[in-house]
Amino acid sequence: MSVIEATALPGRTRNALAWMRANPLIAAGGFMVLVIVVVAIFAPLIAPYPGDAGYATHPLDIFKPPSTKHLFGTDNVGRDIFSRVVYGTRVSPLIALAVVAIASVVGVTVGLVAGFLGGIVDEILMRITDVFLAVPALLLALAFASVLPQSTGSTILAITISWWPWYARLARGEAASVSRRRYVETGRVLGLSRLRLLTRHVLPNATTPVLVQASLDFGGVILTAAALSFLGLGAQDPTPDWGLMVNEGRSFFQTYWWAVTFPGAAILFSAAAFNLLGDGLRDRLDPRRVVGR
Amino acid sequence: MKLEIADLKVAFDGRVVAHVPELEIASGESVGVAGESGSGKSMTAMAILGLAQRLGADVEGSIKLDGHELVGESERNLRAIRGRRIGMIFQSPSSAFNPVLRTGYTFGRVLALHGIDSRRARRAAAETALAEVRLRPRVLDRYPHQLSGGELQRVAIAMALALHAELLLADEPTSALDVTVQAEIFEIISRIRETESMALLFISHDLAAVAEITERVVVMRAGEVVETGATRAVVDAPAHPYTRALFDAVPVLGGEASGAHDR
Repeated sequence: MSVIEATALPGRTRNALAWMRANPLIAAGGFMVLVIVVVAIFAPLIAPYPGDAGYATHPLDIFKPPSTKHLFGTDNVGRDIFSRVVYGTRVSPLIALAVVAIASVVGVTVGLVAGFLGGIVDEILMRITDVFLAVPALLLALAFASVLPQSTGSTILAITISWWPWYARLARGEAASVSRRRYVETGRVLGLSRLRLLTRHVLPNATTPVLVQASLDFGGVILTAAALSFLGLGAQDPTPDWGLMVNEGRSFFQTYWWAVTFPGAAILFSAAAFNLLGDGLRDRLDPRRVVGR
Repeated sequence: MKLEIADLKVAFDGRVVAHVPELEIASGESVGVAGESGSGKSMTAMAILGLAQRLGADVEGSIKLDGHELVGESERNLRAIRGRRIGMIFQSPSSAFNPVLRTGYTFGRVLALHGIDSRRARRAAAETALAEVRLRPRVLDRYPHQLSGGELQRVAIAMALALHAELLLADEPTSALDVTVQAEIFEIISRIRETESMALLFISHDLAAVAEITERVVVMRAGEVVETGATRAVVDAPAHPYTRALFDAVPVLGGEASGAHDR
């Protein structure tokens, strides 16, 4: 941007622009997340057929291709896919965000404590983690989903249970290596409490890989939730879950491409949004990446 | 201040890794401990700080600080001494600082830990100490990776200064730095020894460095002291063949030291 253009703007706008240029990833990811949030809040105003996110069916409008009337076309019972994708912002991203957030908090806590304390505590915690890792993730999620009452909360819980051990493993390895660094040793020697060492010295230096992994997992969680729905254990039909819509549309994909494509694009968009945000945050949180001033 | 070591033995599973029959350091003195890797020189330092036990070693003998026995002292009391009365600097300053914290934060915490409660007092003490090692207060706002190894080592020295440590324990403090920076660090240490009458225990494998900065030296090999005496005398006429070998390992071009040895 030229100097003249920049100085013509009021100070605050100029600062915001400068900040965005310095943190393009956060700006882009943040903007995309904002779009999702705004759509979720104003879904009833944006969706042309709010009823189609529920039990409504329109037998005469089955599989209409995208048009001005139905922006994304209609599905196998004639529902407006655009309306369902819009309402889907209230389902899929929330599930994914909840799973990734809870799983990373639990995983990081377990991994950090194990890696930092070492010895018998490490053994016990990691063997428990191994038990969870030994069962295929989807199978484990299925097992829990089948015994829990069918609800969004149960879906979140079931996936979280199969998800956290990966973060625990990742965090444990980092924590173990960071805990041996001199500044942690010195802190120990100087009598810092274990809690302080953990939160102030080990945690900030050990979480980067988990943060990156978590931001990459966002799309994966949406698809796992979809697989649960597909097997009859996650969100069920009228719920406008993107993953569920992709799964349902799959069998018609060769003739009616729009039934899969648009919900799929929504998953891609939200996954990319959190991915960019995660990447940007990683860069921002690591002081070594800040250009020396 | 007076540190007296008598018949100190550090052992792992009954195997003695460091044995120091006698060593005394008084205020303003400068003593070197030289030896190759595994000679027990660092373990001696660890024992003085009460850290050898933490590593699982058995420590016997006596280490007295102003007549107060440190061997067998409680962890709590040792903590009050470490950092405060006995300052420490290590080989690689970059790993001694937490990379995500500004040096000023680390500096402040160390001072707070040793009882300087007011924020302003901590800042003032830090700035005064930094001035003594010729650093600007600005370095407190920097992250460790933004400072050079020499600057970080000087920050570490300033921490000991700010707490008015009576003894500075330096374990290979310049081995990771280049020669010109080493000279600068040595110059600073020598000066604060005079102004603050701070004692120095300098641990190094580099006899040339030891010769430059210490008055007395203890040469160790395989856990035993093989030679001890005034640095000048030991350098000029090494009595033990190991000391001679250690000295021959130092590549010196011309210079006083090699000339002295050739005699």
